[in-house]
Amino acid sequence: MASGKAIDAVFGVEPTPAAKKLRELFYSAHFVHSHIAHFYALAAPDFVMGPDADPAVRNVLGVIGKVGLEIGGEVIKHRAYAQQIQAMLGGKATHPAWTLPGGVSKGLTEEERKQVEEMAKSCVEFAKFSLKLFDDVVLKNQAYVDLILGDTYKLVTNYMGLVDENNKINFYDGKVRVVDTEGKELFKYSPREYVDYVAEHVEPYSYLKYPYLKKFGWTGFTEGPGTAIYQVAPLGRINACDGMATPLAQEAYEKFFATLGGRPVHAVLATHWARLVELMYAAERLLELAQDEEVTSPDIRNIPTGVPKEGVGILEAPRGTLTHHYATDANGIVVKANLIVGTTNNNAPISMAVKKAAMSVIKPGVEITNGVLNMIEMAFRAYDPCFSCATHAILGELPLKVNIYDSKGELAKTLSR
Amino acid sequence: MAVCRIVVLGCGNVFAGDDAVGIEVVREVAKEPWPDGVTIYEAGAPGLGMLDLMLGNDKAVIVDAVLAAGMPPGQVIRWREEEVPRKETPPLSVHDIGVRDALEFGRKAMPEDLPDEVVVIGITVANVEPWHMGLDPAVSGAVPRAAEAVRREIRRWLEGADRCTKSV
Repeated sequence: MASGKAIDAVFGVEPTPAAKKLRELFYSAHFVHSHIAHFYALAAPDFVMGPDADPAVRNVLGVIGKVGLEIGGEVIKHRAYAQQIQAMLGGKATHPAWTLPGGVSKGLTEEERKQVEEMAKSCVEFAKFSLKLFDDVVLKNQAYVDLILGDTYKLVTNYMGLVDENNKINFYDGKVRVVDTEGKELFKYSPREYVDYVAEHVEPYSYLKYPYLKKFGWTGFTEGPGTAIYQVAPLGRINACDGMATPLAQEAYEKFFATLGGRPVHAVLATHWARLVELMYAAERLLELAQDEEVTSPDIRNIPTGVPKEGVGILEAPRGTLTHHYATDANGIVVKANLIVGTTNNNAPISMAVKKAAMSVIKPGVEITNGVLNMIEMAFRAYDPCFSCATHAILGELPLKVNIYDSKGELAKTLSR
Repeated sequence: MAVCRIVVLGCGNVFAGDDAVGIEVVREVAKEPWPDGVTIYEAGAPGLGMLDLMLGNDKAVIVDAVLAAGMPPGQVIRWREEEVPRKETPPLSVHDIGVRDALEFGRKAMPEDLPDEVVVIGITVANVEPWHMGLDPAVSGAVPRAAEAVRREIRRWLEGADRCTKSV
């Protein structure tokens, strides 16, 4: 979708109003699909089963064993709904070639719209259930609230997210808003201006860059006021906006900040709750769009007439602000491209959050148990990073290694997954 | 006439060397015309998403790379569902959920909607470093054998189509 928006800009063509709504409808379904999986498969095991539970039960099977098999069915059903909606429009659910410069290749019939409407209603109910589950399991357990708000998982940075003209979260369109460590707006920029605001630091040990706010210069891996580091994804978005554009999500947003001490929230584990607030927004927006009669309009594409040149497209991916920048020759062949993808924005924060959690839980005289290691992984998992998309081999494991150094800086022990 | 709904999932990343082997195998299988009811997906790294692609099918084949210490690259392995090795560590992202865990979750949560038989065809690999395209020669040499193993499963199920319960 980000590439589609970048190509609109390359060809200098605006999609029709119906095409914009269809794209946002599709994209809302995508968020429903992604956020459900993350919460139930990655976040819930740590809270429902407990951070130091036996890894054999600290998984999605353990979760449904505890909260009910029928919940597992609801997870699969609503993810499948979201996939069906994406396949209905894009021809296939994964990697569809559906967006075209100036619009989309297929619209919705009235019959399909009604189907989407029914599925969206069900998604709203499931989002309500998920928020209630978080309330019952996490917020009513003071130990978990203390864990979320404690220093182990606290990281004070700037925050970034796409907002509409009222500074409400929007996943598909708008301006990128950045707030500082106090929650005050630093600036807002349009996609084509991104190079004026964001730069990418390089370290010799990784091919993954470390984006930072240009205004401050590279400040290193530092937190606190004046840092150039910013966070994206659910926590970044909820901190960078002034509210949610749909009623139930707004209610959830208000409860989030009232419970966690006001905006901004610097608690990395609060990302899981922010993700559920966004799940509610995605479901409500999906329903709003499914009830908009314009989505069945046949006017789904403006044919580009200009000579292609250069363009930038930005939207919010589930894992953060996603920027695509292409320059082409006069035939539309790409000659230069730069992408800053969701997880890349969070590269420095992930490194810092993992280090902080490790330094907090690994102490002299404390045995390094599975539970201790899991508490380090919890910092990593909150971001749902895309690193492990790299491979998917059976028996393959994402290489994760913990080096423990003694007080003299000597390597004392190495633990691997 | 009964129609068997069969789904074939090729898993892997074409930008990670031998990890692409699952994709290469299903591309080979897809060259042959198959009857209605047979669907072949290049599924990427689906994690829990493999369940979405299996729902409503009678049978499924998953084709994936296998990283096994001590086994030379290019071996083709056939596992029944209950034989698939389980991941020993919790997932770090939604793409990191293993085949066995995803299937076990699906079977418990929506047993009637999942295929009654799932077979995994694994190909042992050598190099899954990211940012590398192309297969090791030993792995590439195994693609025709793995594709034939997949075809064999499909043909077996098509011949027994009257036993398919989710017929369209």
